[in-house]
Amino acid sequence: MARKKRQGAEKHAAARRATTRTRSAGRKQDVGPADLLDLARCEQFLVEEARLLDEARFDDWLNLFTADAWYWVPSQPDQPDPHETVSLIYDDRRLLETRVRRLASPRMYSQEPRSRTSRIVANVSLEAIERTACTVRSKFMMVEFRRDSQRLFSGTAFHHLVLTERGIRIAWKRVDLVNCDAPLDGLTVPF
Amino acid sequence: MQHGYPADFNPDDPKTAMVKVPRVESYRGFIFASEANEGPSLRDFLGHMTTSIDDMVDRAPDGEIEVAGGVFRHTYDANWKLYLENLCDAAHPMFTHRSSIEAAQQQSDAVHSDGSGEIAIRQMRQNGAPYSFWESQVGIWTYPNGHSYLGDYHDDAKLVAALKDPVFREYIGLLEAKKGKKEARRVLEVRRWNSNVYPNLSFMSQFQQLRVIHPIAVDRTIVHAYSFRLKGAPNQMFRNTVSFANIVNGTGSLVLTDDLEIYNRIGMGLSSDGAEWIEVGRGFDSDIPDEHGGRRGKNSTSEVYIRNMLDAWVNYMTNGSGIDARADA
Repeated sequence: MARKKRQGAEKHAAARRATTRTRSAGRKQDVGPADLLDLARCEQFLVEEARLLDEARFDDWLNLFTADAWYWVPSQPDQPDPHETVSLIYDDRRLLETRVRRLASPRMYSQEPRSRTSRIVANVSLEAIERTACTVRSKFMMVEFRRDSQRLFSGTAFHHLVLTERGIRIAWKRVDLVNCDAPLDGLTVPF
Repeated sequence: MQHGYPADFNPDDPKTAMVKVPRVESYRGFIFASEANEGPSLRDFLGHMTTSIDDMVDRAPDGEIEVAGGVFRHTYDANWKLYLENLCDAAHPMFTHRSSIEAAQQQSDAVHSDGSGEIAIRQMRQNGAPYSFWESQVGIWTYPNGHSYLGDYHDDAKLVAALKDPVFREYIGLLEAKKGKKEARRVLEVRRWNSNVYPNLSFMSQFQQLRVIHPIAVDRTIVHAYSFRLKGAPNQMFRNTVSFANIVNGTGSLVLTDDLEIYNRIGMGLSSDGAEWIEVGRGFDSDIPDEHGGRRGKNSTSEVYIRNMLDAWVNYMTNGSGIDARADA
């Protein structure tokens, strides 16, 4: 019994070490002077971001954004801008903070019960790259399960990533849902 | 056109032509269609609610508004009536929207905003006005045919584009230049929140928003929410309208999502056999008659507007003998 317990504890610790390794490896790469953004690093970043969202670690997710970032989910295909046409979500940094704070509220009835989500990120490509900034295009699928039913969301995401002293950060993110102009019930979990 | 059809096929024959709506009328550019062959004229149907449509249009310095900025289409799995029952409900914000009110109250204004988030956060904080505010400074008015509006919610000092705002100052200047100071003042002093034209229309004249409610099934509703551009107003004002639309009518809004959740929950509750009746009696003993054949609540948290809608509904369902039918029930 005692041995079994120890094995369990070791397993947890190993899992923790694995997470820590991944994170510290990311940090180590970030501080190198000759460091550049490349496809592999961007892809890894997107996968990590999706994981934070699936695990409902929204504060950590918010920390991935720059101080003047924006996050945008248009209401129309090929919507040219978020200011002259309504958006399913358009948050400047201030509103994004409020959104994330609300997600932690026990009085957010649209998240009682909480959604469970599962995302796959794929088809990652670099659209425009400079030494320390790039726009990354990716495809995603997200299943959202809540109460008794499941919804499927899919589309194209664009991340503008910048390399900072704290690592890779999102300067802006645009999510084009394939069904952005369909009638939809409330959207509460960020894409 | 005749190719392949029988020789007697006539595209102008009412039996095979596209169906015509029996009656179409418009008021200040808003077109209303009725599928009933007979009924009251549009003016008679709208009654005093024409003043809310007037307010919508009068706010444009050039005297016209246009649909612009796309549309939200949101859905919920419950009855269409719930949507209208919520829109004039002054009692729910501090409960239903508590999570967004608190999140907005705790938000630092030092954090970067391009202006859109600032508008959203101001509106969420406004939802957190104390209960005494809803009880004393907001009013609910109802009129024949199920119509109603919630009034005096935002005064100019609390407007999304507040008086101090340079864009709003510029707008007032343009309005005064086109309409004269006296008329501009009259227009800006109309302070209506949601105006409901029963059974399928709700608009916010002060904020250039209009929703059309589409009943799909007894337990399924789709709502289309439109924004309007005030012709002759500064373009930034329209951008503010878009930001406002996102927070008030947006499918991913921090506010609307909790309303949709409550509609869904009520839908689930109503489908059970647990209780047969819903109590909508708040304010029943204190409602008072008002001008234009209307009735209003002593304060804004009266459910007089729901009773008024249900009176109209019973009338429609019983071909006009509604009050008798209710007495028999």
